[in-house]
Amino acid sequence: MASTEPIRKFNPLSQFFHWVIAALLLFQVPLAYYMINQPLSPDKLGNYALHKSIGITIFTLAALRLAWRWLRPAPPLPRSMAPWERTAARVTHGLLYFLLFAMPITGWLSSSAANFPVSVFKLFTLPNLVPEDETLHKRLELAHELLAYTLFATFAAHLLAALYHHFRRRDNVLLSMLPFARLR
Amino acid sequence: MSRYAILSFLAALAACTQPAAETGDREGAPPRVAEAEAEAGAGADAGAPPGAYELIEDESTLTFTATQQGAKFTGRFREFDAIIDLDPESPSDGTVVGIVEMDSVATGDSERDGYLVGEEWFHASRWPRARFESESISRGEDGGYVAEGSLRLRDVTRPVTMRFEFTPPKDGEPGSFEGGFEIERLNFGVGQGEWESTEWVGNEVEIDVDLALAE
Repeated sequence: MASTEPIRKFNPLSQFFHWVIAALLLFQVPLAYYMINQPLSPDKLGNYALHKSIGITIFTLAALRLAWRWLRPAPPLPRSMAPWERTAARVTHGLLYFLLFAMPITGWLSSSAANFPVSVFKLFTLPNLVPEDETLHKRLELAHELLAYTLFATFAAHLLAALYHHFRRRDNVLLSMLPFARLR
Repeated sequence: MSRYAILSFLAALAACTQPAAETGDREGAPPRVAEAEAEAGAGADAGAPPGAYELIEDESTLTFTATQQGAKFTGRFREFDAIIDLDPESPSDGTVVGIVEMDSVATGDSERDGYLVGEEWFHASRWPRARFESESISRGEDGGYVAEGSLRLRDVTRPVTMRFEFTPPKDGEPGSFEGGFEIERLNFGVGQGEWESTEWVGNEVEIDVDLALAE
């Protein structure tokens, strides 16, 4: 087996998952905001279709990513971090993982409840998870929206923490996720 | 490493339990028995002939399957009437008529239903009913029947061919009429202006009729 040195960087595949999902989310969230404000048109339907396809893609990547994280755990947090900081990091990361699953699932459920089966890039169609139910649809839509706000806030915390680690604490937290960076 | 084994097992399990990509027809609520009959009857210039079977509305469905955002979905019409006047021994003397109240469309999403009855789609306020009427009925090669006829939808009347299976009611047992046909919505002007694009709302629409009949 490999050396007993503690790992200090994220595995390349873990980095790949992180950045691909990040890029998809940076597209997905503004797309959602844009499309819900569009008047009904074929273009709007196309944007919904794209949003759903990307959502299911993120869902799949998140599942693979979580499995891979189990096989290749994240590097340990810097020793300089205070206990409350470790707790904050754990909660934030846990919440981000939770949202990576909860967002696509509520989206898929919401579409199902309105009898809008989800097609993934017109390649295949997912089955409806629940029978049509207008009240349920409204609730799921609201849940999806509230989760989106939660995602936005959690993402902001995640980003600020990464920058804080890099520029103020001058540790390796951000560098450990950058593919070509050398550690300090 | 056993973690690999567990994950591959889970992945295999997920692959096995993955249902078919196609969503099947879902059973909708039974059609609402309302003033449909009277209303539809008023719309039908040919009243039911004495030999026609009675439609058991609670057990009859009229559904359609269309494509939106690349995915098939099924909707239904809650109010419709049918005149099935058919003798299995001499189908060529028979008549099949169907009348649909277009504003009774139900797709599981009231917003979508609202758009469908609007001007760009059914324009139900102007053309409230669609009507199928057979012109000639013959036996099909597969043991079923073939009705050559016409469909009027909005202000367009076009020939359509409906294939169906038919069992007349007998000794108190209800009869059945199961059939359907496919249309291209744009042939009937369903979807005007920018909705003539078929990229996100498909052109093909499958109509499925499943009727229960009493003597």
